[in-house]
Amino acid sequence: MIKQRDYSSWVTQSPLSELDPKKKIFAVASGKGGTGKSTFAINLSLALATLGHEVILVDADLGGADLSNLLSINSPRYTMQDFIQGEVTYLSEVLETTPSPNLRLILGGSDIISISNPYYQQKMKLIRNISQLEADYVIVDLGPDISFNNLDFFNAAPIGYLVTHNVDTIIMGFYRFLKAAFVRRLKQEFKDDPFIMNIINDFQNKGWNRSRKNLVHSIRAASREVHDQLDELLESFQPRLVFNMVKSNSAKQTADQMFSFILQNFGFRLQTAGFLPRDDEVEKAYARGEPYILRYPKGNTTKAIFELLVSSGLNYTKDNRQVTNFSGFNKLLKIEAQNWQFLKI
Amino acid sequence: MNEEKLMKDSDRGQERRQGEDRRKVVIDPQDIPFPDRRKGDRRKKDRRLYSEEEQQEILKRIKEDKAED
Repeated sequence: MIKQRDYSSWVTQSPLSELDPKKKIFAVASGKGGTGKSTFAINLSLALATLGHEVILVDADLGGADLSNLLSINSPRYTMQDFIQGEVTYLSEVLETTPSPNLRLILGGSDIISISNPYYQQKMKLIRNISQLEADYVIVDLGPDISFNNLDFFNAAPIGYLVTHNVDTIIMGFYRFLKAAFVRRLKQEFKDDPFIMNIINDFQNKGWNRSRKNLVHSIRAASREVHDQLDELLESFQPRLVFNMVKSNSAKQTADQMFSFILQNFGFRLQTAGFLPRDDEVEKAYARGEPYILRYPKGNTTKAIFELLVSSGLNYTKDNRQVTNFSGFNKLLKIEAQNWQFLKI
Repeated sequence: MNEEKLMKDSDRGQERRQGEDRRKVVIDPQDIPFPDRRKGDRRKKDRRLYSEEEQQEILKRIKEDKAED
């Protein structure tokens, strides 16, 4: 195994300790497929479950659900499809268990095309039910596209992670998602104010290119009240960037450039949550349908996930004991891995 | 199809033929409160989420930094 450099000094995210304990819902998006979004969502979920927290991982990639494959869980009893189609009343009824006692799943159903495009009311019902799930953490794995479904799920979650690579097309995909989510968030915030809605629509109609700095300036100039409302929105809209497949220091530069570009043009702060190294072992685990973090508890990416937990203040067990070093976390992972029978083969 | 229905259809057709041919009515685009689809206004809209200018700005900055790296 190649020794990995320590990326912890590159991280700029603020701790999540002040987050409402009832609303620990994290959305994981990307704006482009194949970035490692689902792998990150699984590893983050298992890391929190290993610390003793009750975690629910939701596969909200409505048109391309595949978490069951990634975790080698065959023939689920129920999927989200049963909830959307009204076969069951509550979303909690479709929860699937996993070998990890603290991790449960809500799997998406992808064999019916209508589930990919739920009606607005169905989508809102789904979002409402996700927020009512009883767990310490709910991790929502989203689809790769910029559909309204993904944007709305992303904006509904108190914390949104965006997974990207340091590759031009993927960076632009991430930027496209971020911009669309921000403008949609603005529209949700000011939907009852026709004057502000006019400003936003006007910018969109004249080309999204113009929905940059001037958009925020124009809204801010409308009135003192709107100015304050916008500042509050900008303060709360702080997506967290996760750089995956990192090979060199240039990822840090890209993260810094994106931070300053977004701040200058849109006025909100893009936090950098973590850097996950390029790691062949992740690909091996992915190919075998095994959870990486349990298969390779001492792996470089496992270490990077632990660093992400530390920098976001999530390195506490359910009974509030702080796990300060990687070796302590490693021991817990090894105990957790014993629940996964196929890992012993 | 019964005889009554045939009569009804032909009566309605008769009325329509007596009126003005609606296909010849000219509508001034200025009078309609929405974009005139026939002129392709909607198609002319730039619906891209980001422009080439933005793309160049973002990637140029990143490439400059990578070069310094």
